Amino acid sequence: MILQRRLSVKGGSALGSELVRNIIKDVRVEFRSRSALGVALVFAAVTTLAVSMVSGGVPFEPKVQAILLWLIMYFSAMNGLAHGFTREADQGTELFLRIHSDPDAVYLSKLIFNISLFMLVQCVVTPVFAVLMQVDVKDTVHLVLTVAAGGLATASAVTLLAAMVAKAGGRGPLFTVISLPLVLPVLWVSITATGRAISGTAAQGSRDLLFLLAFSGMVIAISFILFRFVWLDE
Amino acid sequence: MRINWILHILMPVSIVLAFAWAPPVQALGDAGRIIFFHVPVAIVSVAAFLLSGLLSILYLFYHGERFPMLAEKSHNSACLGMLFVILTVITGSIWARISWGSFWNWDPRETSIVILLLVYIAYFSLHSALGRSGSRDRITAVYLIFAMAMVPFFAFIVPRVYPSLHPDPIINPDRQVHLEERMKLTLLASAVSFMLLYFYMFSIMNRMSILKKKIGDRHE
Amino acid sequence: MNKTGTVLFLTIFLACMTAFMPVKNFRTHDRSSSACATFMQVPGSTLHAAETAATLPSENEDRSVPGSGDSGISAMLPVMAVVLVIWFGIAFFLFRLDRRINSLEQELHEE
Repeated sequence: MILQRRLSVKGGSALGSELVRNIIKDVRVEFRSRSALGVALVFAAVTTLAVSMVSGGVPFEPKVQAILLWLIMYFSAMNGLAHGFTREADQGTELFLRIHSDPDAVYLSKLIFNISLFMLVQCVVTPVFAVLMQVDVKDTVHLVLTVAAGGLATASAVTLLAAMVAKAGGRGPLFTVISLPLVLPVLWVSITATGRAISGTAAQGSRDLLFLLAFSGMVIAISFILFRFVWLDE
Repeated sequence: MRINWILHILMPVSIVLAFAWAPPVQALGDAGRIIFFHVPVAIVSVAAFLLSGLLSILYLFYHGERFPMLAEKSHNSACLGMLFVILTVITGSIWARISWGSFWNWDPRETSIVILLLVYIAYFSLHSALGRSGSRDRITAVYLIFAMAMVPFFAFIVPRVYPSLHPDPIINPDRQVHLEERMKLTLLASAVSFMLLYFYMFSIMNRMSILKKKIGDRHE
Repeated sequence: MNKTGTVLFLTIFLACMTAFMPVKNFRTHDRSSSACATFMQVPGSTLHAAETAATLPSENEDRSVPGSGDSGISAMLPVMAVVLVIWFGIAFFLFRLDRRINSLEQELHEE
């Protein structure tokens, strides 16, 4: 049962149309209440304000600014990224989705949704952080690329984990606990590369970006294969 | 079990070799003898993790009768791996304190082993959160495979790419193996002993799991 | 544990040993431009001192490090004795556990 795939008369376009349908559905449901996005943004805003207020307007070193930026983004993501699956479980639509859609389409739609959500959070958080924390960015293009690549890697890594957490009841810090070891290397590399982009010493930046993109690719490939074992019941 | 007797002879022999026969390390002195315990325990912790990942792959993809109770064996291997990883972190910290003056320096190898420890902690958290759910074995197997695919990447590539405080620059300044013959033999004996110890404990745990299952089946 | 599992474990173990043993690696020596240099806590002088000690092959005994000469072995004997006692305790525990499991298996088998 798990290894069977639904055959379609139209072949691959069935997956594509299901994917688009699921994404549109997720976006519509999310924007009805905006709970995931809202929680993530509010968390990021509050934390940034608190740090800026306590620092008294004195700018930190680029490395410290990079660490703070990524910590804020990571924890605000942890508040929002599990929502894709836990909402399905809470609202009782999980069974319908399981019957109605191919697991591959479900995974890809949730992945695209999570990546978009995280990118949106980053688009808001990064400029606000730069302004409030007086970040003097020397290499803006590199900063944008690093933040985007890090966001892609983080969102890719946690999508499968969000599905697992939804099965486990999705409560409390379980999501953060199980995603931390797998996202820690991504955070490490992203923080280092962001620090270099801020201070303008991005000589080895391409190696870090390459690492983040390679990591994303590998994680997406493995998650794609393993998702059906989490999603489907035997 | 024959392995039982080989272990009971080899382990005391390797302890005696480590303390009485192997020469002290040039720059570290007698404190360097911790290498005969720290390195094998680190190797076993990673091997246990990889084995539990492989057993998880078999559990998900192999549906035959030849390998029974794969999920339980994978869990047992993870339990032992956790024990060995804790020992690795403790012995590594002690050695770091003696050699470099502080217990923890975020050296890339230390970072990799901490990531492995966090993976184990996350695995056990997920295992207990899923409780008696029917899909517990499957989901924890997926998590192990996912982690197994990513962690060796950081354990093997990162320490090779970034420079390290680990003793390679001291023992191997020109990237050749510079351990003396006695040290090599002692390290090999110690590594085999710890491997056998893991193997023995793993077989005991597997037998206990089988017994538990048989007793559970009888009660039903 | 069956033979396939044994072979599998041995293969993994040997692969790990090969990877972890201090053999040739393709690390660069360019420490100054590495990411790790930005958060390595140990001062560079400690690493330098360790490297200096390693590049003096003619100095067989480092007198500043205690116990590095032959007289240090007698200091190791109590340590060795303690470790052996601990090991025999663990071995005895494992042996008893093995015997109990054997008897349980026989009991179940007879029934």
